[in-house]
Amino acid sequence: MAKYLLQRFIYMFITLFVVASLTFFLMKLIPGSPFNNFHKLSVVQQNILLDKYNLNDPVPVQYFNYMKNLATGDLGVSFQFNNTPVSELLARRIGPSAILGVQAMIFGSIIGIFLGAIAALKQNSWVDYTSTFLAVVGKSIPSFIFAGLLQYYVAVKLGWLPVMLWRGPEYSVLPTIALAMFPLSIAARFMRTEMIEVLGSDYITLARAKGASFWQISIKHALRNALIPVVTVLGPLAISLMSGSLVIEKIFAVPGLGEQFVKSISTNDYPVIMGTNLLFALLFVVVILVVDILYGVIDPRIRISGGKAK
Amino acid sequence: MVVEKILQVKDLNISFHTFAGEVKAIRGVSFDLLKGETLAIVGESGSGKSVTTKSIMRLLPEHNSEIKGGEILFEGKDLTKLSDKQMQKIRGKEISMIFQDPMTSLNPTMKIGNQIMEPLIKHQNMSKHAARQRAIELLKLVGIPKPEIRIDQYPHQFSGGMRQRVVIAIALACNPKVLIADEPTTALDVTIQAQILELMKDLQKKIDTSIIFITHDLGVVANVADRVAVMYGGKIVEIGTADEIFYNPQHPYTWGLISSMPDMDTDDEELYSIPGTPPDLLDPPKGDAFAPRNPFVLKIDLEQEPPFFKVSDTHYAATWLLHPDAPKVEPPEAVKRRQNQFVGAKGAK
Repeated sequence: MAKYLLQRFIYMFITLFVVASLTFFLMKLIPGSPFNNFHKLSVVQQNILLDKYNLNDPVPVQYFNYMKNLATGDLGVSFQFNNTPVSELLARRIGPSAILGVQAMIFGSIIGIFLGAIAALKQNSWVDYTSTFLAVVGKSIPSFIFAGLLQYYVAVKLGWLPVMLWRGPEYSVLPTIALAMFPLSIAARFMRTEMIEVLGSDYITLARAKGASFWQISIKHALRNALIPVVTVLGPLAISLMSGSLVIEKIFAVPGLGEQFVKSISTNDYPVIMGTNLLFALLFVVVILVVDILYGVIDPRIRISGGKAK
Repeated sequence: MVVEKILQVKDLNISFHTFAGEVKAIRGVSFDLLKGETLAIVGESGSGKSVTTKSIMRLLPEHNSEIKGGEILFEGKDLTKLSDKQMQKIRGKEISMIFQDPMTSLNPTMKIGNQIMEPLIKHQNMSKHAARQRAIELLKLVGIPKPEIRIDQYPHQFSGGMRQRVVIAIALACNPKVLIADEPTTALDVTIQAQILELMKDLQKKIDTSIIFITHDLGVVANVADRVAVMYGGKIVEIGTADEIFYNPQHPYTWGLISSMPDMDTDDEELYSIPGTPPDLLDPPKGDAFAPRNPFVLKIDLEQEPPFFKVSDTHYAATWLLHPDAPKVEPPEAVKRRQNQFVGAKGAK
């Protein structure tokens, strides 16, 4: 296991390096300047500004310097936000995004798995049709439409929850639901398919032949086996939530990473673009590692071992 | 001495509802299972062997199968009329089943110990500790070395033959009165087949259970069976003791089966195969289902289904050829050779 983890960490490092390099060069292809009203300045003034931020160096030199700083953990300072260090900007913004993402993921996957499992167990009943309907709706309607509907009906009409802003736990409910609809429907659809397949398998018949009851079969035998493929899709979904929250954060005026990220791209705030993107990439590789480890927990056949499977 | 009938199947009819229509998979099957005997059910794919036995366990898919008629009596109780709850008490305790493919019949994410302990805890109210001890005993009984270690392993750490031993251990956990083995050796290679058959015969003696053994391998039948039922097109066409079926078969389908078995005594270059394809049970033929493939077909075969004709007290066959008015036909070479052996054997007694 230790050897495996070490190997994975090396791969993660390589991935992050590649992501950082690609982002850096792609970012430099975006036209425009990070400074407001840049064109109104004289050429001399422009050059003073560019020199101050080392933007006059050739791109490879800038790249080399950036990577050198990155290696020491320095993400640079933002051009837009008054020279605030990028790490501080990220730290300030990651809270709401993480809360939203984690809540949406937990809510979406648990409800989705539950709905999918029930649908499969009661195949072709009204429960099944309802769950399938929900899944199709959740998958086909974009989250920003849900966001609008939720705001209008739940917040404005019924007045149960705040419409927007970020001032307490109750403010996170509606954005979480809007964000969770997509993972919820994906989990429900996957779970239903997998569960139906598992329920038709020989070992379920054997479990029935042993005299196990309906619920024993469903929970002890079917659920765990059906979960294996579902975990595969939930990993990448968790990531898509992180970036998918861009729109939701905007609609609900949540001061999260997404909002800041969009702004940094439109203003060529290079260090912030780099920092946010690297943060997403880091989350991505970590989630993939977690998913791979989770596999082993659920499925003993792919348990990662340093030679001694137990 | 009257031997107790542990299980009686009476005029069982089972249909499957499909988009194409109603498939009459089982059409009036009756047989008895005696205490301590091994009854083999043979027949080609689709003849209804598995459906018959799955219906005994009530394991057929509920949404599209239907028992249209008949009774399955186990110790006087009609299994077709029991509730799901009552049936759960019979499954795994009174009647157990071994399945065809050991590679897929164990839960891949559950330790085999827990899989064996499950019926013990459920049916015999054993504590976890006691069930574990019993599971180790069972593993030892089915010939798995180092059961104390193996009990905590997962199915993928076992070979196919070993997994089938585990499945047998699960089936035998509660000393069932009836054991249904649905082609238990088909998915195994020949040497392992022989081991598993030996094991089953051994265990049958130890726990005194009756076995229904489904197979399409006549070699296996000869090895294990006391009695044999031959199924074709959802019906039993011939039933008798193993000797009677092997050495004095009466039904042309049984003749075909026996002729298509490799034989030490012949030097025929080509192995016989029964021409044609099995009947379409969406629309079963009016007369004898085997008639279109029967080289000895009579006119009446196409019009009326043959009843069972008695050959001996234990031997019945459903073919018009046994009717007193039927013309005498010569069975195929391979069958005649066997019949001669049978007569010879009888003469020697």
